[in-house]
Amino acid sequence: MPANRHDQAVGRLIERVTKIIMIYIIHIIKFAIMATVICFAGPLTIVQTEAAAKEIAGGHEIAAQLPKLDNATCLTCHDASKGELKATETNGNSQLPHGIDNIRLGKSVHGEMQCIACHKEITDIAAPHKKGAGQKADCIQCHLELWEAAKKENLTKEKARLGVVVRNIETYKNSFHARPNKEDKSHVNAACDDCHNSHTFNVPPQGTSRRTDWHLTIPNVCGKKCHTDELEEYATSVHGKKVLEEHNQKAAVCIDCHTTHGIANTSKDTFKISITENCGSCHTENLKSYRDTYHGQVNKLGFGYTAKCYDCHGSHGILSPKDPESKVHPDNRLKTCQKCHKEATQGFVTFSPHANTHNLGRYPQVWIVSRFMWALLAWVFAFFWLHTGLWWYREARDRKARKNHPDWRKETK
Amino acid sequence: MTHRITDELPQEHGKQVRRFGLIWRIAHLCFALSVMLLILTGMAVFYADTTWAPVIMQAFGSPKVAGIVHRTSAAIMLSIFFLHLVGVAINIARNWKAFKWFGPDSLVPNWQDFKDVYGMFKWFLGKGPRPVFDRWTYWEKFDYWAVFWGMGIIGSTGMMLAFPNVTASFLPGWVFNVATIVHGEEAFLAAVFLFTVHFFNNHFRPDKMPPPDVVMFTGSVPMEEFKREHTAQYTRMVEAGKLEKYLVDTPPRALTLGSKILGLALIAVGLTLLVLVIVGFVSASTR
Repeated sequence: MPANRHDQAVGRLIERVTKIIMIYIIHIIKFAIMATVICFAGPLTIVQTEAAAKEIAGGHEIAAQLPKLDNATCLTCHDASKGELKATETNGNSQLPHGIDNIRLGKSVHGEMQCIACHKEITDIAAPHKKGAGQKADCIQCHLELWEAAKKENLTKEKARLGVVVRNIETYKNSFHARPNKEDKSHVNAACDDCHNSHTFNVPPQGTSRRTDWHLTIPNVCGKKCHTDELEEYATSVHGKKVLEEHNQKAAVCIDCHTTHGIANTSKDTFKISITENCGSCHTENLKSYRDTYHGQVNKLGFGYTAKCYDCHGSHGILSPKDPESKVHPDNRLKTCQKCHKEATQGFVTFSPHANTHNLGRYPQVWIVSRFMWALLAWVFAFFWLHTGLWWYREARDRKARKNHPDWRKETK
Repeated sequence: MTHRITDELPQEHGKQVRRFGLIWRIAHLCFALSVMLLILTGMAVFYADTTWAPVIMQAFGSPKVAGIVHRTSAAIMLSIFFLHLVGVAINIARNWKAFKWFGPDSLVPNWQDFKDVYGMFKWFLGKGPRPVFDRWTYWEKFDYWAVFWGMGIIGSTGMMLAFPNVTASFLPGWVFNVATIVHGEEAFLAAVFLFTVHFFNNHFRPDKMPPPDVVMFTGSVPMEEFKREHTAQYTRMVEAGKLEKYLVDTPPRALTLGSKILGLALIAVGLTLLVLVIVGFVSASTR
């Protein structure tokens, strides 16, 4: 049966080819479906994500721009810790972007904040920024608002440090620094960020070595830009040498005498008095002995016209009394006294403005006289109060007894 | 039984015994007022770190004003003291031959005073009768001579401090340190002594109740009180027949009333000053 065999072979071949074609068609369809899914579903997913993001932002316009104006974006231009900043050229003007030390920013109390949370006027990425309608960075406004919010949420205890900031702000507002500058009335004498670097701000805790380092920077904070003459004089003083050369954090820096936020004009009586107190917060014994003199007593009563620490010792250029240049060195003393006591005579030089009653070696006359006076007082009062007490007792008793004997003189005669 | 003698004297009724003449009374009043002003203005500086001191200073306006008040009062007080010395000198000079320095009319302490101190303590302890006193008791003599000491010490140191340029032209500087301590401590002694011991002896003893004793304002004491407080003088004068010389009319009601008001006012001021000084003392010792 050759014809049957032939038919069977053709049939098998057709069957095979058909199978192969079918497989190909299935693959093509599969590919087509996948392509369709890729072409349509992909963009669909992205649209959905954007919509979700908008929803999360609660309709805030600024939030919609957040991905564009986050800190990473800002730091692409403003990070000074990576090396040199690149200048941008606009209308022929070359301007360096304001550099931010990102590493120190990260450690600061403001490290987790968004740049634009303070720099509200920045709304675009391109340099130079078109300054928007938003308010410029305002330390005071922001901290006051945060404190108000903390008060509403009953978090004043947890945010005690914020309370300190707010108190400092209140003190600052009455300070000499907060007054409009005489030359440029649109500016204050010194704003927060003239002393505090708002980006790296972080006062280290008391007692740490970082606190010491921070303390030692203060003369430069005050003196570098503004109080240059004072810094120059301070650098020659006993305090300045200790701080700037020996890095001794115990020696006074500007704020130890002048206070920090409440800095006032030094011609004000109340401020003169508070400076005296501030000297005494380190020189306690000397403040105590000063308070025993008329100078110190009048000062304590709230009047600034008698001699205060710096009237005799000098202020920014204060020297050790042993220094021959010191205003209180015995050779220069009479001249110093004569600043106030115009007619002062030689005896003024040997007056001890800081004498005490417990140092026999140094102040023998004072030691002896004070003990004599105490003994005198003790004996006079011991005798007379005993006399008085007994008299009271006897006379009261006799009077009681006399009620029964009206003619009392008979008893005593 | 000496009281029986005067009971028979007709003059005694409605009469008082004169102890202080007008000039001495005025002197005492001015002295008291100037001392009180000195204590007020001085203690406000001495205890400058109390809460009351700045209030006083604000009331005066400034320590400069208080200083002027202090020095003016000091001038008044010292003038009275020196005028008194002149008065005493004249009295003694007039009476030079008859004046007995240690006699009963003299304020100079004598042996009787020491015996009286001893006698008083015995009486206090119930071991003897109350001593009888002549014209000046020992505590009155102490008050008198304490003023000399006070004037000398507080006055001289005050002068040194008030005229520093003169002082320092012939004295070393430590005298200012010493003068400041002595002036303040001695003033403390004077103030506290006056407002405790002097006030008690003259106003607050049970026999003097109710205060005030107005003899220093009216100048005379009722006979009963005189007999009780100065029995020896009374006896002496009756025996010498001199009592009549010292008898005066009972002061008019208005004078007595005015004296009482004045006395109470001065006592009130004195006690207030005492409280201020005590507050200062306590706050200074707890500092």
